Amino acid sequence: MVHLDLYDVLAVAARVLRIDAGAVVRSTDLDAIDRALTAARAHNPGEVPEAAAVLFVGLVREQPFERDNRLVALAVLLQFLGLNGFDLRLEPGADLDDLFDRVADGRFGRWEIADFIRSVLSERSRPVWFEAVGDKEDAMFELFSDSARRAIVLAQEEARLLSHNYVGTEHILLGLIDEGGTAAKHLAEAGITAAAVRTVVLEIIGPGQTAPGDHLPFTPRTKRVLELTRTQARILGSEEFRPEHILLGLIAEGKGVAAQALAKLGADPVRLRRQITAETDLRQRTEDAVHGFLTEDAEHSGTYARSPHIRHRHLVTELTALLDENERLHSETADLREESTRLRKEVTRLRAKLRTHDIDPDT
Amino acid sequence: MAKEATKNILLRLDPELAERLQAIAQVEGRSVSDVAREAIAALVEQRRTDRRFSKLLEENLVRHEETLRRLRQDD
Repeated sequence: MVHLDLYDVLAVAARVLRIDAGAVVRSTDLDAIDRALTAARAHNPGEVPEAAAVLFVGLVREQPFERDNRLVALAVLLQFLGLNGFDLRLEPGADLDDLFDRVADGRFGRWEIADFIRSVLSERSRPVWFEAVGDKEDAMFELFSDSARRAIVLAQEEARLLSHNYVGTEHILLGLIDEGGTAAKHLAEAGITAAAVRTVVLEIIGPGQTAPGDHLPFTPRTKRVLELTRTQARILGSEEFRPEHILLGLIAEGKGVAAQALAKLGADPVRLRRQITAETDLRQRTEDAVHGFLTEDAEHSGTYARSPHIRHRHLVTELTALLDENERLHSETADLREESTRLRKEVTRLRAKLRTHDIDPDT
Repeated sequence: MAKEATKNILLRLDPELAERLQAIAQVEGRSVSDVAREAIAALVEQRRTDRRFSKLLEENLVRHEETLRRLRQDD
């Protein structure tokens, strides 16, 4: 299931309310939206009408927007359903006042709204983000995280920007950078920017000659990268495929335009791989530990049984900050070790040189 | 009814972003909340220019125009 995030909801609101991004951020209760989104995300995966209902009820009751809250709530609901491949069969000009009134005063909750949504739900031809991929890949992409899916959609956008009528490994690399998550962070640390990659890609293959069509197929090498993404995620014990796993897939494939661009820009694939693997492994173990701790805690005391998700998020956030600090310190230690090795070699070289001049370096 | 601009914005941001925002706020002598709101607005703008996202949104607004217009009038 593709969930909306805060920025998605605000983008819908800005469009519907006809105000700019700054105005919608200033005039909206962001915490209220966050609560509605968190509640929807906590719902069972795969149950789109239920998650949609939770989000809708949250927005209608919280009224986070400056005005036209009902209008925005319905537009957000339609966007959420659309991204997951659904639409609502509403009569033109349908009178939904009674429905909104019942939600607002508590007579209707998530179950009633989920029933309503089911009763008027229709399937779109396919989820919008799936337009980036072919039918054969659909099943595999079910396991991609929201951010990984976003990276794939952004890769397609990058291909279009370069007038390429296919999605190659180079576009996947650019999509990962544009997505801005963990993979992008590692690439930035290696000095890899989207602008630099685009320049190298244009040097290697140039822009396309014709405007690309609606569907951009994956190249065989990109399909190989996506297969390797699955392998890399499983090696690291992750059920979900994240952007960093795609980056590991790109590195493992090692021959496409993306690999060439990384090499030209001076990225060391071995070092990059080591950094991603170390961090991913640590994060996975930490999240597992936190999850285990919370389950045990809730079972024994019941203190946090009502909000394990919220507590989980806060704990993971705090631990992630600690891990980042830990990683920084490790990286500094590694640099010092490297410098020490270099100095030792220099001392050895100078000692040898002294001996060639018949000087004993130890006397 | 809209409330005042949100507080504790950092709770919603991942620690790396929070750290970066804190650094920017310190350098520019502004509050972290101000810088965070600016960053959120930039990300909202990014979504608005996302072709697929805006295409779906426009489709929805056109398909359900009458129902939505009715809500605008009633709200």
